[in-house]
Amino acid sequence: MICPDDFTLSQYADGELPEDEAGKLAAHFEVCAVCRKRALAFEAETRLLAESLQEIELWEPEPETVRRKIPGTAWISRLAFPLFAIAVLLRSGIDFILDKELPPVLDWLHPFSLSGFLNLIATGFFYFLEKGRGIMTALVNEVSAAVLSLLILGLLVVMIRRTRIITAAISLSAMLLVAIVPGHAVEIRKPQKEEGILGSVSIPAGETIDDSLVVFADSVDVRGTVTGDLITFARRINVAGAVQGNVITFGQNVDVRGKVDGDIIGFAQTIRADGEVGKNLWAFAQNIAIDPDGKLGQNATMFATYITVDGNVGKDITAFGAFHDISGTVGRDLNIRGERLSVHDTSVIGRDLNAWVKLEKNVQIDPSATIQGATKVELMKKEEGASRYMKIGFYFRQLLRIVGAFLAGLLLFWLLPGLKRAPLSSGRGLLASGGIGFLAAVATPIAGVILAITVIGLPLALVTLAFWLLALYLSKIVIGRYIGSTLLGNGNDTVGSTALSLLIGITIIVVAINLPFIGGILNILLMLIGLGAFLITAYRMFRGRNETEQIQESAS
Amino acid sequence: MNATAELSMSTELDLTDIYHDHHRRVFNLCAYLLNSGDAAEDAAQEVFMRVQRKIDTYNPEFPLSNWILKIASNYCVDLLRKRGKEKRLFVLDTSESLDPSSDKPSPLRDILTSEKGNRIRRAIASLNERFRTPLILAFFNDFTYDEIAETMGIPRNTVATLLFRGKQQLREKLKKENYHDLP
Repeated sequence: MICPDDFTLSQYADGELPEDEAGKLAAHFEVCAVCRKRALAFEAETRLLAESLQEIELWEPEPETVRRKIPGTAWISRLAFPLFAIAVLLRSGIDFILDKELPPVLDWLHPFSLSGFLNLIATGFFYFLEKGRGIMTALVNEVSAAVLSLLILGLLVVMIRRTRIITAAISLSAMLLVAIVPGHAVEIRKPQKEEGILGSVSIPAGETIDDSLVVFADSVDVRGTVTGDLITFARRINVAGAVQGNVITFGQNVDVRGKVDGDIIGFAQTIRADGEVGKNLWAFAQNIAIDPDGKLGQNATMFATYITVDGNVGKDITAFGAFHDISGTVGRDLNIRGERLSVHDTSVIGRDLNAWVKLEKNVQIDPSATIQGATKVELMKKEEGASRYMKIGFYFRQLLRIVGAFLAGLLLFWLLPGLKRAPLSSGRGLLASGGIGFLAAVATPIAGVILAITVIGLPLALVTLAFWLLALYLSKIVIGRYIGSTLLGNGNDTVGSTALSLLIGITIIVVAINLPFIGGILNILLMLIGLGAFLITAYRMFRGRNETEQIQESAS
Repeated sequence: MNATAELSMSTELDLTDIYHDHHRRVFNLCAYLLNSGDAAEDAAQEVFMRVQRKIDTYNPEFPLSNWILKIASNYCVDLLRKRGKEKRLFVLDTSESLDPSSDKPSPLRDILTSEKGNRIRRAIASLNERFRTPLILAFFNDFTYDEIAETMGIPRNTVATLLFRGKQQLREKLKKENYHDLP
């Protein structure tokens, strides 16, 4: 027999040669020392391969680690692309809407129109003028409490990092500490069990609820008395009794005919006030009507398509709507921003009438209406897009922006040097960052609103939103440093190089997001990616270095 | 109730045990085959879902671990195919057919008298998928050539060839590395 080739020997060592052939080979090895030696070497090779694959664990599959890693990387990176695509589409959609003129009826829905976005700021301003001090005091108290809790929490986490359960327990108690606000008793009502959520809840005429009342139902009918606040989530809300606190409603149709000592705050399709309200009306709706019998002690602030005032408002009316129909009495000023205004002959306005409209002919004031003060009608001017580049103020603002971001960035990277390892160097990292960024950018305000309407969560919601705004601001700084350091060739890690790469990166970003046409999209993309990278890095830093490396390894 | 129903009931109860007993091995196999820890996590989860679905078809005369590993191998090989990174994944190129006169092997033991484990696994991980897959199936799973052929859907001869070539490449890689590492 001639000497077998290596291919045959390999199969022989794997035990995969047919029996007769193997027998022949074995016989051959008896006489051929060279082949025998080679065969032994191949067999040893087979054993070595099996041993090194089977005996030592290459991958460390701790079940807990495996489970916790899923939300961290695998799951999100699969979602990243669709999320990112949605973000880009949304942004393009917004740009498209911005270019279009909406019919006046829908104008109040248009978040970026004058009667939408700017007016929201304007009302916010009015609101703060009146309530600002209280809000700021409360906010400062809550934020300082939150920061204190976070500091304590951070300290404890560092101290007992290894014990997850204790950490979780402490986080939870800290959250509760932040969330708890002193409050009075609250009664919560739901429909009878057999009716389910679609049932109705009614407080009959004789009944008195001696604290605040929270109701979830399809329809709510309050004919009795509530001594605290009335908070309702229902499709139809009818308040014919007396509420000594505020009425806060989320519903489709809200009708307040009874007596309310505090404010009415309403979000609905239709809001009708035809009772006596001690203080203010804050209303966001499609139709808002203050009926002839309606009487407000103080101000009415309204956002709606159709706003009708036939009743009596003690102080000012501030209204942002498409159509305003005024025939009632206004104690002081009437401020209107919107499409059309009709002031009928029966109207009495205690002081000034101020109207901001697009066309002068859209304001119709009956000559026999009584206006004690001045009447001022101003036309809203369209913004001229390109002209901003012609103003010096624009460049000054951008310079301020760069300096501000630079200083914030220095502080940020000094506090959290780990952020320099933001996962932006691979396409996958970019996508994952963008996806997570989009999730965070969208989910946080939603979570905030949900927290806020649970009443007890209001301080927590404000803190969340504050952190969210901060993260949005910092996101582009993270990206800026990455761009800068990439351009400079990210070599050493000194303060000087960080500062220089920050400055260069931020300048590039500020220029880029101010470019005409594509600036807006660039801005949102950079913000999303930066926010995601920021969150991923923060998450990794929190989880510790070992796992970070694991993820980086598997991601690469 | 017949025996199958009883079996399915008892195995259903034991699924948690099955998971605990076999998760590590399945995960390792997936990690080797897919060359990624992340992908292996997902794959292992999917494999156990399949195990759960197919538990009725398991024949208790054979070892459970073999059956599970087969499911895992099939799943991963499918995944690799779908990835389409290598269009000719398991198709042997004629130009790569055997050349008996090629270099005389100095089998691994000779190269690696002191080195073990890590370097070999690293070298395996760096192999092309179509060489890596049969090596893992043969030496991690202890599959026969026939079982590998069935799993990969290729002729037995091709399996033998791929394994032979895979070992050759490993040797070359390790030899090269050796020259680098040793002074």
